[in-house]
Amino acid sequence: MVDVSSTQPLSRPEALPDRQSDDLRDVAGAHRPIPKGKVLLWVVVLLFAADFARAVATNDNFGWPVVAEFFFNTTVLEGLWVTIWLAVVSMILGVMLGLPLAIARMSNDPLAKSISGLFVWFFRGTPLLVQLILWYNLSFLFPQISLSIPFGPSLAAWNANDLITPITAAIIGLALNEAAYMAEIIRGGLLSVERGQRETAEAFGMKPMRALWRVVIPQAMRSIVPPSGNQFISMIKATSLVSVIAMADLLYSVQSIYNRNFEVIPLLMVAVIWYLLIVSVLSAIQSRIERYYARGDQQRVVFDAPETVTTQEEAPL
Amino acid sequence: MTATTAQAPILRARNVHKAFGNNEVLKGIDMDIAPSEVVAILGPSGSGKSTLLRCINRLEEINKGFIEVDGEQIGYKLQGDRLVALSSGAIARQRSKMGMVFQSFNLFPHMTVLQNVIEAPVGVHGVKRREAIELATDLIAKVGLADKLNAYPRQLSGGQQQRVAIARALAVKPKILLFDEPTSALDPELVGEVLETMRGLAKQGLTMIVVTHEIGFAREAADRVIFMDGGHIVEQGKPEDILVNPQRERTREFLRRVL
Ligand SMILES: Nc1ncnc2c1ncn2[C@@H]1O[C@H](COP(=O)(O)OP(=O)(O)O)[C@@H](O)[C@H]1O
Ligand SMILES: [Mg+2]
Repeated sequence: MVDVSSTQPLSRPEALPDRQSDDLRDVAGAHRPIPKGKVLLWVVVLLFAADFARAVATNDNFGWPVVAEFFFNTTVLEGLWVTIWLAVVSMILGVMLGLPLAIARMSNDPLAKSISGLFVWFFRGTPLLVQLILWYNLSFLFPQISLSIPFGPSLAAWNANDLITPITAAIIGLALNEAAYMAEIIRGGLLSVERGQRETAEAFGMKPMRALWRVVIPQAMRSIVPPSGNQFISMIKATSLVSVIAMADLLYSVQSIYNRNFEVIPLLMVAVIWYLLIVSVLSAIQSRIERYYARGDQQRVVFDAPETVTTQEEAPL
Repeated sequence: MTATTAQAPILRARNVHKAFGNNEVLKGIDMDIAPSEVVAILGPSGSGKSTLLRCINRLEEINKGFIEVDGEQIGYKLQGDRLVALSSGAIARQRSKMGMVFQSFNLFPHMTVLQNVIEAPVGVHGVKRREAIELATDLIAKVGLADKLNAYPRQLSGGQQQRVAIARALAVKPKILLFDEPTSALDPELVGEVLETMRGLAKQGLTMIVVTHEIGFAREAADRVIFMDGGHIVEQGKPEDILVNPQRERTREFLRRVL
């Protein structure tokens, strides 16, 4: 047996009434040694990063002067604009269609449920590229598009070739695909809200749609926003697929330039930097929206809580 | 506080049956509640007390019998001699006459205290914002939370949250207030503040149905005690009779366990 009292002299009673050592024990004055391994790791990682940045910056093959020359080129900017509005419009349409699809999928109505399920199954289950090409070639499948009473007479008819331009094909293709993904994201969000919330809203006489809009959806947003941001970023990049149907988006524009001047890498770098810039802005917007929907979650007591007590929520931005 | 039997009842339940699949939970409940009456419902866990409250405001649909609140049958309408199920909009309108307080508070966490309380008056009853805010501020002050108007529910203690929930239920000026074990989820030291608030309401002449395990509250604040077991009303009467001198063995056994 080890003699405890001799190996740990401080634990003996006579060592306790030492005022000065008690002061030293106050954790408020404690030192926190910086872990040496961590410092070393930082230095190594930063060195590698700096070296890589130098290698990229000084590498003539990237053609940075050419990048600078074409960064604000009109064709590029026009392509950038197409990419942005195409993504925004498709996302908005996707959400507008995704919400009813999600509600339909969660309803008790067997018809609504299966139609929604079928939609999601098809548009998630086939490659976006194929969907875009099919929409673009719709006139081949249905030369005439007509509005008619089912199995009855036609009310109006259009030539599919006039209706389906690269723009409409791109919007329809991207929006329907987006709707399928958004439907699932929204459904997950709605399911994440405690059942008692909806019941409480209904117990107070709110109609189902109002309960959904005022009580369930605002709470579901907490889990809907992060994957939607993700989804929107995918959408920005997915728009590059529309170049196959001759839609002049950002990628298509830089391609059209390097097909003439053969500066492939510099022009791709122009596109890469623009994509990264858009995504950075989006991420910043997303984190603001997330903070807005987390407002009921702060634990500390806030007396600077918004004085406005509007039932209409303020805009999140 | 004391109910006069001469008045027409504000709630009538006749032969109410409710089953979940094969599990028969309510087996023929008959109940009349007079205006301004305070009724405490006691009974062991699983006896169907919550289900009864949820049937009253149609969170559950009953299988047999009928429930009438303020002269209107809940969930159905007589057209000639045909009984027709109401639309969800009409049911929402019927529910808006009742206020409910839940065991787990169920405040809307994304809204401040004030927003919680004005939500139904503004959104369901069409009260003007300004008036709703005035009434809500008043009610919140009455439950002792005037300094928490702009706090979010998660920043409040359980007892405070439940008092907000009571203010929220009062804000719709309900014909009848339903409480489902309002103090069961609270830490013991917070039970008193909520019961105190409820005693105040009872004195003001509100019609209240309170499912509770607080025998003390039932004795002091209730006009009538109903004892339920196994989906039946086993016995009912004045608190001093039921709680002191129960006639049925099941009631006696239950009281022995909770007292
Ligand atoms: N939504 C439901 N689905 C199936 N069974 C339920 C449901 N709600 C309640 N029950 C059953 O009904 C019985 C009575 O429950 P409840 O009314 O909550 O009792 P109490 O409130 O008296 O404790 C229990 O056996 C419970 O399992
Ligand atoms: Mg219960």
